[in-house]
Amino acid sequence: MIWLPILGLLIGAAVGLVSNWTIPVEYSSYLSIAILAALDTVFGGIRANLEKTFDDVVFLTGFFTNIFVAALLAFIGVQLGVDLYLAAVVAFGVRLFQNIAVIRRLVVTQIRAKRRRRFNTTS
Amino acid sequence: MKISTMTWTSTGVAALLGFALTVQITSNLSGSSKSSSNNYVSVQTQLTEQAQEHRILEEEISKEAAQIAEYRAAEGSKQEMKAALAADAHTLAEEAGTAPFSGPGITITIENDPNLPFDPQFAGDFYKESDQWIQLIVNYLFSNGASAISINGQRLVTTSSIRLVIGLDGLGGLQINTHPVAMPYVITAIGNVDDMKATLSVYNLQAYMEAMGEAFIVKAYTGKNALTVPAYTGPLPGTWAKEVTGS
Repeated sequence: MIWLPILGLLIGAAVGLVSNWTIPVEYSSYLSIAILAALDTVFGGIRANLEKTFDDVVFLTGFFTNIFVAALLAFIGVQLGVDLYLAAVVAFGVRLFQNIAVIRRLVVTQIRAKRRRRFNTTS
Repeated sequence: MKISTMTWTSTGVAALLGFALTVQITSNLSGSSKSSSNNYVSVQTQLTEQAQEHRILEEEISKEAAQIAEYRAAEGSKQEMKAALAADAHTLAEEAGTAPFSGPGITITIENDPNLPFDPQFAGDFYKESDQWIQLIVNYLFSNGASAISINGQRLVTTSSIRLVIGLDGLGGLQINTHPVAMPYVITAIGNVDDMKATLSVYNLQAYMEAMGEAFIVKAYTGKNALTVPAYTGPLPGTWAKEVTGS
């Protein structure tokens, strides 16, 4: 069922293109940070799925909370005149790479395990 | 085929992510293409440059056309040629400032207005910077359609001076061509009325003046000879020069 999320991604992208909806330049940084937070949650979800610990509620609440908190942090940073969004960028960036690394290892381990099983059954 | 909650959740989240990504990318693309036009200063400069270039070209074309017409009309007649050259000399004298100049134009009156709201940050600044402000206005006008300008009856020529002369006691005032002038300052500019009014609007001079507590009243006169600026009567370069005789 991997095609369904991909289809969802394509539909979302198509809606974004067709609606011709743009956000003002001053809010662009908030959306960027929100997207980074969303990507972090998505990769966290993929990792949890591979580790068989995926929970819908945790995933959804994490997705929306991360987006909201990241945008809020960027907003507070602008109000205070401090680049607080950098904190979110670093935190989410590090987590993103960690998640990708774990996903890579899990996928490699799963592929190796499959090959080993196939080799054992044939020999 | 039963689709799990996890798949539906992932699909929804993926759709949201796709939408947000697309909106962000399209916003950035449209934002970057509009960045130059969003830059107010850039637009202001471009507008002024274009208006200036347009005006200079128009003036050149009309001058050349008039000269051709004059020479064609005077063809074959010495008397008429002489009259045409005299007319040219008069035009040059008008533009150089040594003859009075009439035409459509604007007047700008700058005077203290106690009824304007008091702005502690800028109030009273005009008295300390009046020469700079008047120079600024005159330069904007000359570069945007003005052919002749006078300030309180003092004609501006290439060697004119606009000075704020203040003694150690803090008393003094503005001098145009070394002549003291007092408020209200009346700048009379003859030339393209629309261009001159546009440049005053573009540079938002009225707002600056009002912040300093000065009224900035612009009046337009569109009649053929509605305004006249007097001739420059001061010394010109070379006035005091003497021919060296002997040795």
